[in-house]
Amino acid sequence: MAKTKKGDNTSPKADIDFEQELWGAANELWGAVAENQHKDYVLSLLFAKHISERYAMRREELQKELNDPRSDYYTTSDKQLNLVMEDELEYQVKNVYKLPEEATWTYLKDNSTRDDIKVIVDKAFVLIDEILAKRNEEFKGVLEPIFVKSQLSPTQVSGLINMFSNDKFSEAKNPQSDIYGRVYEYYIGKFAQAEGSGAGQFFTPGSVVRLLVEMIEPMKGRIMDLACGSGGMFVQSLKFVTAHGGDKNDISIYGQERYEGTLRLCKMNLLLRNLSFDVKLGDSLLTDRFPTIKADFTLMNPPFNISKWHPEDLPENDPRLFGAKEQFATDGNANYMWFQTLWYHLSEKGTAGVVMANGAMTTGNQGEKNVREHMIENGMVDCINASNRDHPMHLHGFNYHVLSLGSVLTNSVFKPGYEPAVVTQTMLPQSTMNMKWFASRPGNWMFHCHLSFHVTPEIRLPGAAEPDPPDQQPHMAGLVIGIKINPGPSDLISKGEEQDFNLYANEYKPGNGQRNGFSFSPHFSPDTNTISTPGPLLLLKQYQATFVTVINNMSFSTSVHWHGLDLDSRADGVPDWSASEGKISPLIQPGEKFTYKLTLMRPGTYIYHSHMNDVHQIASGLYGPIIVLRGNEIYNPNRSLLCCRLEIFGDGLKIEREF
Amino acid sequence: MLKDRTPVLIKFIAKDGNDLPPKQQKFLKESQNFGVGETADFEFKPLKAGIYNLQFIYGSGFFTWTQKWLVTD
Repeated sequence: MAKTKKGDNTSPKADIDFEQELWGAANELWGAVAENQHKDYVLSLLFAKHISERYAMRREELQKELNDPRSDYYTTSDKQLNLVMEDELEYQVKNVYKLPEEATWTYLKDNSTRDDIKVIVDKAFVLIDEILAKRNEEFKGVLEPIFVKSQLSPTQVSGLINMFSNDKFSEAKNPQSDIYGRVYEYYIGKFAQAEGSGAGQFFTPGSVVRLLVEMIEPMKGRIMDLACGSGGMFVQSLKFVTAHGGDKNDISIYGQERYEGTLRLCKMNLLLRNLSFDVKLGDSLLTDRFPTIKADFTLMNPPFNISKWHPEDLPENDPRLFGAKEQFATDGNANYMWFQTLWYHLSEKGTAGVVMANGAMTTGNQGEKNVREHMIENGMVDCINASNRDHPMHLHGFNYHVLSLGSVLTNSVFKPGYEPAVVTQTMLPQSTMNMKWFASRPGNWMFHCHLSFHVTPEIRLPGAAEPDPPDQQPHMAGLVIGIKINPGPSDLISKGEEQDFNLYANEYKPGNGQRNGFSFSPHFSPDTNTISTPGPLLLLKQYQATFVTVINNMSFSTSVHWHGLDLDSRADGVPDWSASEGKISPLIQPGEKFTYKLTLMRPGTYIYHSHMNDVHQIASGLYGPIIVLRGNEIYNPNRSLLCCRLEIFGDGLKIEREF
Repeated sequence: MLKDRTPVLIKFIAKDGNDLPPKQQKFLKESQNFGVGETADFEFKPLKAGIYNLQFIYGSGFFTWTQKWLVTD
């Protein structure tokens, strides 16, 4: 798709690098105007200069063609020449606006020292605005007469005009430099910096905008931002298209903005780039101005955590809601209404990039939780590792297919048929994963990081989950999601003769501390200095129903999880969670036992391990290997690696070879 | 898998109990990284008798764990 090197989104620069100088010069002119209003004056003047200069350039171009004997326009008739020069269509065809003299920059510059320069500027603005609106009604109000009523002195206005009249500051002299776009962008960033947190309504930091655009790669199609502010997402999308050899005519832009002043900034920003667009005024939450538009790309940095957004004013049957209004219109907070809006406007194969408050991922507010559940259950989300650590993400009881793996800048999609089928996929820091599995068996399951210390109760986040009842063992917490699959048919198969055996969970107390391990034999010596870790290999056969009775000979409770096997939820071994048909997988108390029924759907290599107090129990030795053989397959220990045996010799481990 | 400190090719054939598609079953000098909870199956067909070392590396090479394999004629 990309014709140029990815990330190479720099536009050609002319020898102009004076944005900072302009900013400094402009600041010297202030004094009478509140800082948060600077942008209205500066950006409006900048826009007027741009419109005027493009008009002047087109006039010059026409003049040349009319005087060039090689041109189709060539004429010696003054009358003919004037007719062409005054023909509005000759300007419109180049997306240029024909201006009366009083609206041109030259006129403003020539009269900049007059005492009534504020009146002259306002008149020019009114004229330009009328001309814009004549071509497109939506452009009305882009330029407003704001100078007369301002506290700016004529000298300050004159200073601004002279500053922008700098010879270097000219599109004609710096073609391809996107000079106005650059300065506009620089100024809007600086104004945002000056305004602080209040600038969020019109400005999203460039790094965030670039990240979102690079992630969703909007090369062709409809791009929508329903909290569009000053249009930064659209401008960055244009840059992306240009940098990758695309055509800006292949994208169409739809935006909505709540604040009129901000919308004006957006329209100017887009007009400066010669982009065609449809951006409208209105509160996107309550009045969707594009009810029938589906976009290929939705980008959004909506205001976070808006309370009192008046969901009561939403129609009962608002098509954006995932379900009944009382369940999905969240009155405490608009965050999840933004998600529903975003989703509603996405086309079937669309991609969205959205910035949202961290807290939205874990909020327990009922309405928000409903939306989140709906999104997860309908496969609307990718798994994102937002941390700086690896996380091996394990799904209990099922294989899942990895459809794509990505980073903040790329997404590698596996070809259909080549999507890896896994039970655990390691996600690298700052990476993304899109996964799919078939919920083909009822019960309680979980998806979690397999690093024990990432799911230990000790790292439970406040508000992330309900606290454990005081009379119960602490449950897993951290990077873990519970999954409930409603009662229904099961895909499990058992064939042939059943088998059963015992597996003992033992506690050893050698000289240097406590160790644990599994064994087939009930005979062990608690003070031995030799233990077997991992536990014995369980050699099982595909489809053979296998009953494993785990006998807890330890002084603490445990459970066993059969990692990677497709089995009934109750046999999955997460105490007080794994359950089917109303029966819950128990915690096996000291001296007690529990029989797990294993179903062995797929031949392969797997693991069994404790799923209670994982940090301590797995580390102490409560794990082992499983090999499931195909029906007629014979296990040959000389051909397959078993597991190593570790021997404890007082102060350390020694590896004993085994073949 | 090393013989005389030289890597010997091993064939990556399955992950988490699932056979890889034939095109993805590749001979490797060393496997990709695996995380906790991931299992993998490799095929090793020695061409010569001798002592081989199966080496596991953890923590960016800070820890290594080696198991000797004896291959006889």
